[in-house]
Amino acid sequence: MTPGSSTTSAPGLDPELRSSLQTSLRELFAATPGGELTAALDQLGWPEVEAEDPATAARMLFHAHGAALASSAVLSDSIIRSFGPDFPVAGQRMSLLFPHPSDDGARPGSQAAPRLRGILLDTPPHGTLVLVPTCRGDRVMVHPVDSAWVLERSRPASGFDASSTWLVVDTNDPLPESQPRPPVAVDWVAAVAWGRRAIAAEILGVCEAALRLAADHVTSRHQYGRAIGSFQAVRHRLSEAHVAVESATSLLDAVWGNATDESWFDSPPEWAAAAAKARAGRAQSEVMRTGVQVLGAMGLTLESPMHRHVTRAAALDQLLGSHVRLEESLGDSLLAGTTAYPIASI
Amino acid sequence: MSENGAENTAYATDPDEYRHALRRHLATAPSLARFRERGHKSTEERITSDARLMSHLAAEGGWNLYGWPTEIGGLGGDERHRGVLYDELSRSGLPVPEPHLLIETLVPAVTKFSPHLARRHAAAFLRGEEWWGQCFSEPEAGSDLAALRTKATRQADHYVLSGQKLWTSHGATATRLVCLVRTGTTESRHRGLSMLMVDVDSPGVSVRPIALASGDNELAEIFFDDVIVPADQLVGTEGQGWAVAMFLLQYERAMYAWQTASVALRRITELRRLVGELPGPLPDGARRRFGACYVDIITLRARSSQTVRRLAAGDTVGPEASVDKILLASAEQGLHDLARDLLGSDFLLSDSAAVRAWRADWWYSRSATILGGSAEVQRTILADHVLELPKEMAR
Ligand SMILES: Cc1cc2nc3c(=O)[nH]c(=O)nc-3n(C[C@H](O)[C@H](O)[C@H](O)COP(=O)(O)OP(=O)(O)OC[C@H]3O[C@@H](n4cnc5c(N)ncnc54)[C@H](O)[C@@H]3O)c2cc1C
Repeated sequence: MTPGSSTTSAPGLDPELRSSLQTSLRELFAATPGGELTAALDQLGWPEVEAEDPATAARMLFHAHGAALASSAVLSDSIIRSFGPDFPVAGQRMSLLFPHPSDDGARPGSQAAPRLRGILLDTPPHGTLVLVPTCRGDRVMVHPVDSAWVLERSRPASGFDASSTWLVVDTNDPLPESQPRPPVAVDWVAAVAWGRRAIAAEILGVCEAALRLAADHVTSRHQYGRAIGSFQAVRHRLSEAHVAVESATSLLDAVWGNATDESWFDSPPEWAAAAAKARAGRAQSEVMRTGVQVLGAMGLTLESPMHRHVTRAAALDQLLGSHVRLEESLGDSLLAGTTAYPIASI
Repeated sequence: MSENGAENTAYATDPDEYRHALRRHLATAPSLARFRERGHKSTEERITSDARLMSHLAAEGGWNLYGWPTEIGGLGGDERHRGVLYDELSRSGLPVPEPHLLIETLVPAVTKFSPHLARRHAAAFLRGEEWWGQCFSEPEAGSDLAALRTKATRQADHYVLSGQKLWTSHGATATRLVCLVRTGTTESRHRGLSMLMVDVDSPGVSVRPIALASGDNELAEIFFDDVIVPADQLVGTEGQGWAVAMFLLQYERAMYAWQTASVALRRITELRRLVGELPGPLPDGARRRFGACYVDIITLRARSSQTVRRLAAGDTVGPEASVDKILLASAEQGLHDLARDLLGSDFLLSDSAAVRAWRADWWYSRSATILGGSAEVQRTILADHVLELPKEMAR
């Protein structure tokens, strides 16, 4: 159950380096508040690791972010970096407005009413820019908007996930006429695919932490004179939860591999990313149901940290498409005649 | 095999080369068309037709002989080649020949533990000229395999075998049986076991076919009445039966999972076509279930391709293979439940060959949580050896 234990050999970072980076990430997330993570990661030399092997780096980073239940703008930074170096100008701090979970993430700002809404992962600092995506036809542009304008139209997104730093932006106001910079076209399909793979890794990080918590609990808690983890009903539920996490991890490994290996053109990367996020999203629903159950009353109270895993995983499931919606849209495409892409092969 | 002797070695060392060449062959050879017929066949018809496909592939380029060592009649290569074969057959609309289920289960173990037996018999198995059965289960030994009682007694240069085996796949038509038998006392549990290869035409062997609920004779019950088995038909040494069985289970679980994944991807596409021909709207929730079922199938592919690559690299695949087995069962049963629900009343009432095949396959899919260690047994393995939870008490 060590993070990334089931990954096959990835090019770039050797296993020894990966395991030492995993330790560094764990320590960094344990010690650093969300707002300072970007600077701390820079100091750790993360940009170099990412340049060496972007897929493995992202998988490790977001897995650790999830396992630590960290809440930060790291994903927003990472997607903006994926738009290209110095986008749109060097040295400018920016955050991305994620599509609202109720809207079609592939076509941001395309909903019927002229309503601007979305999610910010953290409060953007004063004087920085927020990138607001909108689409015209198939083209997605991001509009750099002053963070103050966006902040005035936002509120904390802490309804279910009380420990998150997310904000919901929701307004009927049109974007301000004069923007600090002109809008820029981006490869939104690739950005969403990147984001979905990263969030899938983060969800699985949360799941592994929850499963570890549950396994520890059933080992130490005794009833009827024996550890509750010796009851077959409890053991089998945890085994199923383990299968859910391991299998979603295998799919995600294949999907990252297929996104970075140019020779593997059998399956479109955005299709694969949607499938990986759907599977990770389903895994969290299975793991969390079990995690809460085997803790007994404690599982649904503030006495145990289990609830934080439940709510964080639920929030991440919603970001860039819940498993329910993704499964449905994959099903629609398949029923309409899209190839059942193999995704993974020998 | 003849026309491309030079290319053969390149295929054996490079699974990708092999994949591309095989894909080309399967897409272009007109002689394969007759093996693509859809629809339901009896078990006996299916296995005979599949065996003919194997002979055909072997004769026309040796395509199904890659992945096996040359000493036993293969053309070299490893588990990856076999994985590629199953995937490419499925991709081109051909069946994964039934005997390959047991080839994967039995041939690696026989090759490792008794190379002389593999040299003698495996080539014919690989070429579809004969097929074998696996006799482990007994009336009193199902999940608890180590309780088995079929007894083999050593006398000079042979064993005398007596007892009863049950649920033998392909047992009604197989010509050779690999049997797990007791050579020690019953109390010795798994320490007193040995593996024996038995010829079905030996005096004292009798076979009774057993039909699944679909009516297909997939299984058999086999009786041994003082059957004489030459001692050189031991797989491994006397008393080594459990070790052989454990080695074999790695392949049974890993390769079967990959075969299932390959076939399931073809079947979900076929289901889509069949459902597209139905009148009226789909039932509620069908779109999402279709998507979820597809995701389960590719998840199984992702997991089991990793495991196949590990076997090819010479790794021992331990208790974590239970993850593959559990995934396999949920993908397989999920697909067939989906087919049953989407086909609706047609599933019950239609006479079409395609629907008859789905009906029979639905029954077979129920075995995914039973055979090769039930879903419950797999969960217990994970709880014990992977999650390392406190042990169950009474066992
Ligand atoms: C289609 C098919 C093909 C087969 N092919 C072969 C073959 O080729 N060769 C061969 O040797 N065998 C074969 N088998 C037999 C198969 O291996 C056995 O069916 C299997 O081992 C289970 O044994 P059983 O049927 O006796 O069930 P049982 O062991 O009686 O189990 C019945 C139920 O009890 C549960 N159970 C049992 N023990 C426990 C436990 N400790 N904890 C929790 N639950 C438990 C099981 O999970 C199952 O749900 C085949 C079976 C099928 C269905």
